[in-house]
Amino acid sequence: MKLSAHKLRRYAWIWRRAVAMHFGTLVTSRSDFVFFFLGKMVRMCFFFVFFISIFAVAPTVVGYSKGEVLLFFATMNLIDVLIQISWYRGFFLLPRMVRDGDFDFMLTKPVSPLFMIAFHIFDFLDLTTLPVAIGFLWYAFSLLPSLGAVAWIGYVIFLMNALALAFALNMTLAALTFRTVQTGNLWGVFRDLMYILRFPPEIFPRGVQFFLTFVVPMLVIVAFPVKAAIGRLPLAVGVYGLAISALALVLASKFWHRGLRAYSSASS
Amino acid sequence: MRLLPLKLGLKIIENSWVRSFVWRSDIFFYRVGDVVSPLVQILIWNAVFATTTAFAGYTKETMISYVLVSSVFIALSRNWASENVGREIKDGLLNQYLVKPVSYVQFVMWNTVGRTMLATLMALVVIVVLGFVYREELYVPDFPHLILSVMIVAVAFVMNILLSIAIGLVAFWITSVEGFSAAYYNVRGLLAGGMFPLNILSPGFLFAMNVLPFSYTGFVPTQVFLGKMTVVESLAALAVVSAWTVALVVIVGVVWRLGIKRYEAVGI
Amino acid sequence: MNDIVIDVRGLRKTYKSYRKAAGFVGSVRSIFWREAVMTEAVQGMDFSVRKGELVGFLGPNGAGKTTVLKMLSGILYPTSGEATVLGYKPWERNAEFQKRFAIVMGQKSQLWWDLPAMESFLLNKEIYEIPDRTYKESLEELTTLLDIKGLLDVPVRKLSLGERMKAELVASLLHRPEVLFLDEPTIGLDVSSQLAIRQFLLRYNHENETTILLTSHYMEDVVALCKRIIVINKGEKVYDGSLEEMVRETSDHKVLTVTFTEAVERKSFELLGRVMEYNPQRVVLHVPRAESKQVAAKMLTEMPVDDVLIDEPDIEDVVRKVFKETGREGLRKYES
Repeated sequence: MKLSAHKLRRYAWIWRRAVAMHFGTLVTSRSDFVFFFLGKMVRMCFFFVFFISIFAVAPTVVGYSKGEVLLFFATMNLIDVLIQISWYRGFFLLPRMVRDGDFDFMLTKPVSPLFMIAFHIFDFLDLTTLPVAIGFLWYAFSLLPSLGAVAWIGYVIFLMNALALAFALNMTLAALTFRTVQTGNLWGVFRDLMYILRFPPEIFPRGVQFFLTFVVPMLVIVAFPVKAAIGRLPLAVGVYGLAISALALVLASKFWHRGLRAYSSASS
Repeated sequence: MRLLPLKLGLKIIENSWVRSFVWRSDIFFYRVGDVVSPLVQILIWNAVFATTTAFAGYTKETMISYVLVSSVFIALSRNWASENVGREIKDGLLNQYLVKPVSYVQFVMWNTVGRTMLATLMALVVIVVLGFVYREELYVPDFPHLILSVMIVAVAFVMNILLSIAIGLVAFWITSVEGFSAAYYNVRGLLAGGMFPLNILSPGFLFAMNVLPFSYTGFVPTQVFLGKMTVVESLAALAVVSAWTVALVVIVGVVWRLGIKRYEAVGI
Repeated sequence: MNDIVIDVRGLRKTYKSYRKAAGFVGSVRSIFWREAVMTEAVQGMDFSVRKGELVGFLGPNGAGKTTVLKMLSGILYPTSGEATVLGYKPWERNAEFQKRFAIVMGQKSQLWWDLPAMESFLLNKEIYEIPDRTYKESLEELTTLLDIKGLLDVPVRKLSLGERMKAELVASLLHRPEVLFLDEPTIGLDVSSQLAIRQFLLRYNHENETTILLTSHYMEDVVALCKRIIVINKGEKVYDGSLEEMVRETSDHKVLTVTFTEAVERKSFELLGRVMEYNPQRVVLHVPRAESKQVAAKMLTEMPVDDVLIDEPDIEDVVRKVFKETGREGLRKYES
């Protein structure tokens, strides 16, 4: 896909319009906001109780201080919220769109189907949890000694890297829809793996850590930004983290396009 | 009130199994979540107990046992009836049941039993494997405690279905069930002791938890299993969960009657 | 030959589906092994359409009409064969091509359900990059012709089926496509909506020279709109030409409906033609084409006739006959 300023502006317009439209559909269900938010808050409270009681008895966990462990959780939380807000819903609902036949329209319009699928749903429900996620993150940083500029830059870079990698993984999952009948529970697997990432990777045996870094690079998503911030990320490993995201994006893109071909060849 | 004939009930169960098998991947992939969650919890506790020997009255062995046993019990009672009922009411699908000579609530109960059985069977297989892996740490209860814990779970199974149906029936009154359902699932798992054993909480909270029905699907029977409650206390717990079940039968009946009056057939 | 807009050669579409046995045991077995079934949805089709033509695809359910449209709009890839629309290969999904055509599917909507149609129109404006002035003009023209000006602010889900289809048409035509594909556009609509949409399509086609390809299994759609029809059965094209010609070729008879001022005995008609309906003062006869005028004349002179009607056979019957005859072992009687 060729990129140009004009194209970017046009896609930005389309995205803004889609978001505005989605906001329109959500204003109808205010109770949803409230309950959803409350549910998440209850979960957070439980988590805090858990966290505090653990650190009341244990000074460090697998060699990380209280603030550092909290940083893992807060970072994961933020990434999770950002993913949910942006493309997660769009990709997740792709199987339903295909089943209902609404996906076909995406193929006949002069816009990239990938863009429309990923971004035509803007999850306002999760937007409510963004301030809390940021607050949580701020609190975690306040428990740590102040970070130098390099650490901050590292954190931000690997945070964006994490989003890119997550996008590639979600795109791949969505592309599977074009070949299998139902992928609903693969998404469940993804969510569960994201759940694991909340914790410092050192709780896993070395073999699993290796697997989750180099084979299914989920650890790149949370562990790398945090480790970069606290100075425990070796340069070579960091470079690998960036490279693997780039590779994942390329592969995911190929997989997506192959998937579209399969859809157009195999359906009726 | 006419009871659904047994033959019909069994057919409904078979039907739900057939539907589960249509989505082939459903059966295999979801199980990853059943492994991941308890496994990660065990790993965390391993990490915590590396620096401390006791935590809220648990040793490493009893805590691991807690995780495994509570996972089994929670999996046994797990169901998604509330979201199905909520959706059927919202989308007007309820109509097709209203014109048939069966009670909707009883139909849902049988259907939920069918769906839950299948999912639970799969989950049990997985957890049994985990139990074998961690067999050293696994606490073995004496016979009375074992029986009592199983009885509590059995009653909690029925109670949980009724509770889910009652929550789902709220759809007669609120405009959108999504947020409410999501909050319910969140809270349900936490209050059952899925994240950590509830006796970490202050005695006041703990008392409240034991009055509410949620903890009887996981926390309470596990405490009985682990011998942390005397036989008398266990019998009392059994009485409480039974009382809740009876109360819910009445509640569901009342809510249904009130709700159906209010129901407008929205469907197509 | 250069005003050919759609050109199809040897287009073929085959796909695979699976059989599953009923019941629980069948389901368990299906996890491990499933029987694959190959279906030929479209078998080697050839036709071309000129600019401004309004062509109807007629065929029973499952004949392959929708599959052809999906291939021509780029949704599906053909298994083999070629097709060009406006000079493009549809399945390459060239953005320039996509801006020049539109597809409307009878039972699916591109409009956002919870929002007023206007919102979806504005989204399309961005997607198709329609300049402001063109957008305003098209919107005005279309909403006036379809008479839905007052409904643009109502959420789509509150509109009736007919109103929704009209809004759908507006959304699809805002970017002034040169080619329009319609898949069962009047399905499920009430009679007055069907009529309104037919009138609109006729007028739009006439005024804008838009090439329109329409599938329907409503005879009224086809009769009202299409001078040319392509009949598809079991994936094959079995007729391509005008409707009148098809009626004439398939039916060797005309229908005579005669009413009388006095009672006439049934056996008076037996030599004249085949009696389809009879009551003492009214008869419906099927008479061979060549003889219809003579028979009518004879009856007028010899019988107490009140009124005579000479008509072509009912089109529905004709079409049904075509379907039946061409379904059997590919008996292709009707080449254009």
